Amino acid sequence: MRRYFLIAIIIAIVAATYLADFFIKKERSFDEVLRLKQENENLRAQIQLLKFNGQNSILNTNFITAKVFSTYPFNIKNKITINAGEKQGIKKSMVATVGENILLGQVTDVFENFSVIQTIFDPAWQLPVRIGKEEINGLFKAGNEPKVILIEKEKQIQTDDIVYSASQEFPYGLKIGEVAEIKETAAGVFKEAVLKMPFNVGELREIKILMTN
Amino acid sequence: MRKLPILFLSVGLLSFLQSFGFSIFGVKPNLALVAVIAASFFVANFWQGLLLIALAGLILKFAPGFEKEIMIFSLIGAGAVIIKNRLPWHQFLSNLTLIALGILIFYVILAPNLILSPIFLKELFLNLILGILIFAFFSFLWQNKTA
Repeated sequence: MRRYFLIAIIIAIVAATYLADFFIKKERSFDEVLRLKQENENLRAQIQLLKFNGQNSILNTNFITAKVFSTYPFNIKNKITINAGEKQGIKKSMVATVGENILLGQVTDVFENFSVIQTIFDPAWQLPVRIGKEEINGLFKAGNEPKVILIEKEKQIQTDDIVYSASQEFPYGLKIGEVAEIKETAAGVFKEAVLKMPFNVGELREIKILMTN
Repeated sequence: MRKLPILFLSVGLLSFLQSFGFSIFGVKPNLALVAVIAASFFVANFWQGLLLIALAGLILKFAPGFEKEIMIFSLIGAGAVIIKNRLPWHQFLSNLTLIALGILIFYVILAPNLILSPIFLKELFLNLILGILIFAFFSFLWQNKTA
């Protein structure tokens, strides 16, 4: 009798896991210090970008704010679930940001009231970027230690130089991070830069989705 | 002491910890899989092991819809419950072998390109350390009473 009860519970849990849209939301409480830190990073990014571009191309764009409900639990990907979906106008491939000036990622799956975002920390993520005022080209490579590779050796980059998006998929000039360390070898024509990221995915409570038609 | 509620609670808590993004030096250990494998040596029967796997799978699910990763996680856990008593070594060593094998299979199926990356080795190392600690904790609770 006890065994049948156990089997019934297992079947119920498995059905909820694989056949239903149910998932346990792991929304965390809002931390005022973290919010201020993120606001500060966002303003810094805005100032840095205004210095470079003279204007911010995304300031007049519509954003929708969404709460972070859950984070991907394994190392092989880096994704988050948010509480906005089809009903709120979210579509696949829309751009997600922290504040309005820091690139977070892209919407990969959309459900009725939820969406999944692949973040720039995902190991599979690669993105053309530019570095500093000189707009030096590089390729952003995400993962455990985010870095910019394929930087021409003769180009001058410095620590604290801002790294920003230069891909057609995203608005030009969204901040990704800052150069923390430059790695150069005697051989080869390229150097790479290890990045300091302006946020930690685990600390995110609220994000923004850039609304496009 | 009743084993199942304690195992249920331990696996549940560690799964929640993992799904909240717990990480050590930027590496997220697979706490749920480690807990399920270590706990499988202390459950009374196959169904209790399956219950722990189902619980961990439900907690780890992070979005609506079907998730391949949770399915692979559950199959690896179920495999560990089935073969744990067929391994010729002491349970402590079998636990570590199953954890290493489980993590390897997980990566081979879901992210083969990451097997040669430092993230795999770091996660494997962390999982083995945590596997030792969790197994030692359960052994301490039920000395000489393992199933």
